[in-house]
Amino acid sequence: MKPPRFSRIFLLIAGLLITSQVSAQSVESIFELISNSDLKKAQKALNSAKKNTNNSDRNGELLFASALIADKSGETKKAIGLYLALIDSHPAMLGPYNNLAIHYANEGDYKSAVATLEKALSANQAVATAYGNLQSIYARMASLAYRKALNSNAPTPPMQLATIENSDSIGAFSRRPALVASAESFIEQTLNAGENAQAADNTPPQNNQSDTDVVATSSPQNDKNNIVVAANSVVQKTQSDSVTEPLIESTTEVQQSATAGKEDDTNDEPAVTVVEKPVEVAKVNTAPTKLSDEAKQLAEKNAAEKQALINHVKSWASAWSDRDVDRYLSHYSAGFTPRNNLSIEEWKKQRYGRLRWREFIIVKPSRYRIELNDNVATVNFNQYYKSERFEDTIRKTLKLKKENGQWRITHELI
Amino acid sequence: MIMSCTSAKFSKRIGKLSLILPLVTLSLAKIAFAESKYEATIAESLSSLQSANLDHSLESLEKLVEKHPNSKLGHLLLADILSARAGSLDLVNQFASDPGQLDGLRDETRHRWRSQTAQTPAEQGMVPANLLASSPTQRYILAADASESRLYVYENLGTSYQLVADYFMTIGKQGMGKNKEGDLRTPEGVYFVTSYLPGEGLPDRYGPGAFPINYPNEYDKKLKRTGYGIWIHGTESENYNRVPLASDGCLSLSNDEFLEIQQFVSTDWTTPVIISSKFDWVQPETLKAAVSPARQLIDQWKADWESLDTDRFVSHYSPTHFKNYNAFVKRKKQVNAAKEFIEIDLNNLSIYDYPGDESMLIVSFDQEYRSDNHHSVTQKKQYWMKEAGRWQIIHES
Repeated sequence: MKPPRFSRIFLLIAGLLITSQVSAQSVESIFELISNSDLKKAQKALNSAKKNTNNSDRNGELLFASALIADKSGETKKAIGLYLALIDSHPAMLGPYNNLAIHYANEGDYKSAVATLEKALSANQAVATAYGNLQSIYARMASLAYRKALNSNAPTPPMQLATIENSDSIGAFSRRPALVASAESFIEQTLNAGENAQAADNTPPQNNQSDTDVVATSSPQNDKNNIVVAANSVVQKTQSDSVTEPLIESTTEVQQSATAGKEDDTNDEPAVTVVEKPVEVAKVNTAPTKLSDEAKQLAEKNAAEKQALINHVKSWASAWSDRDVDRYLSHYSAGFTPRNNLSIEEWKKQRYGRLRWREFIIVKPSRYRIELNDNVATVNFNQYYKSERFEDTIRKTLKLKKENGQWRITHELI
Repeated sequence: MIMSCTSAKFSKRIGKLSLILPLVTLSLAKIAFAESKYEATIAESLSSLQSANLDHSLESLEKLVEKHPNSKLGHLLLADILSARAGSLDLVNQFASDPGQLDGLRDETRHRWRSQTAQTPAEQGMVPANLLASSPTQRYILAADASESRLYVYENLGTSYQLVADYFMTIGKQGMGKNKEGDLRTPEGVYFVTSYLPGEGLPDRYGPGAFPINYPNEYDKKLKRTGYGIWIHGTESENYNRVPLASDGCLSLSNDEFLEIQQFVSTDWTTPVIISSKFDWVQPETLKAAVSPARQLIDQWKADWESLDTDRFVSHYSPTHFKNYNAFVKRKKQVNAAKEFIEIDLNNLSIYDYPGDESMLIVSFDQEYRSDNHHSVTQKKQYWMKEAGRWQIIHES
């Protein structure tokens, strides 16, 4: 009879489908069961998963599941043996090193624990690189804090950050294609949105450097002001990128004027210091940035604004150096907030005394770092100060606000 | 007015991690903090550190340096944690040019930590043994203990004292025992605040103002100690505070705390400042028991003066130490011979045990003198010293 035969084939196909689905799921579910400490069920699922030939390419994971079950059941020796075997057969897998190191550490064998974790890092270049970068950034942050703590002008050690350029090292760990796909499409959408906005201006691409990394904070349309040019950070600087060009010009001038004075030349800050947020840098390994006229204008405007800020700081320093209290105070906003909970009147009185008391004062700002956000800006710079009593160089931060077209200081921080 | 200044070099070795390692070995006895307080935040981040909660420690330190960007200690602790995270514990050596810098900050941390976490004698209700009696005009007494880098403020409650505040403080670069001008030391003794100098007229390093004290006092002058311009003052703007040994001999507080002590200080010689290398802390009852023998000395001196028995009266004065003793005796005999009666009233009596090696009391009072031909009210200060088991006046003014 035909109908039964048909149904048999149908059942067979359906059965096959179900089996493969179950087995595909089961590897994931084993780990879920293990993490829920449902070890018996986990063992069962593991046994059936092992029989399934579809899982032949997932031997490592199944072995790791065995190790975990042994580990959790208190069969330490077996677990350690399995971890060791796994490290041998699947050196890129991090779990075995980590869990093995825990055993060593619990036994008080810290040397082996450390060696095992170090090996884990060296076995996986991507993780090692990320970890190394993390340490480098911590070291830089520590250095900056030490400089503040100890009034030091010693150069901070160079921040040597490495890019990850090998996609394999990442792919090996992505076991969730759906998630990866959605992340990819999200990024693509974000990028396209920026590109579409630019395309509307009918501006042809300015340049085409397929080999150069173009760097922007988050996404191109996001922070027009936050274009990052960091000399010693993750990125290679674009040679003729139209975004960075005007900014580089304006800051080159700053650099020259700074070095013209007798300033320290400890070259610990990035050479070109426009807006620097290296930690937030997102690397976009795609087509070059196309810039609209509007964006170019904005960049030019920003450059001009930054020059105005630098001029303001210079003029402020010169009024201070001249001990011209009224001119000095005119650089501050009426809404200036003095430190130490002083009222503005008390502060003015204090400044009056401080400036007039001295026989001479020399104040020289240099090495500006500017963050600009419409009508407010933060200018960070080295402040060399010398009077008959005192001489030092500190890193000073001024917060400024644009009032009636003029920059005025609203906060002064050390 | 401005003291000469030469910078003291300290040559102790720099350790690898500047602060964390020595500290985590300390025991955690007590934590009590008001969150707004600078020192409490430091202590909080240290105790987080001790319980290996680096994240919390980092977080509170980041807040601290944001609020007080001139906090050297805050930046240092932050740097230590970050360098631990960076795995480069020797990073500090690249920035510490002068080893004394780190030692100073380490000492500061130790002192601050102790006063925030340990049960100090002051917190147990004990009182410096120097506080024998205070005049009603002396509402607050400042008591500085150099060994703890701490300035205590006691309120005079008549027959007892109440601790009202205490602050981390800085003393001279060369420590205690001021002897001559420019020695960068802080004097040990009992002094009084003489005036107030507003910060506007002062260099930045004094902070918001200064309270000069009367160094050299009569006793210092007797010992031919030199120097002048010992003040209680604030801190230069680039530091939140200074490390324990970092003034030219003055007591320096953070600016926040200098502003706070202003409420306790009078500038008409009614705020005693007792500066000691190390206080002898005693229970209040012990202190009360010590007051009456001291009072008896004064009462006996007064009674003997009123008795018109000049020999007995002058026996209270030291023939070896009291200036122009013989002329003094002669004059007293002449004066007393012509008197029919003398009546003495003592008001606003204060008695302080003088810090230092000597057994000495500094006594001050308002004296109302009445005799058959004279009436006067004077303020008197006496230094009583115990020599060969006998208390005698070595100086009177």
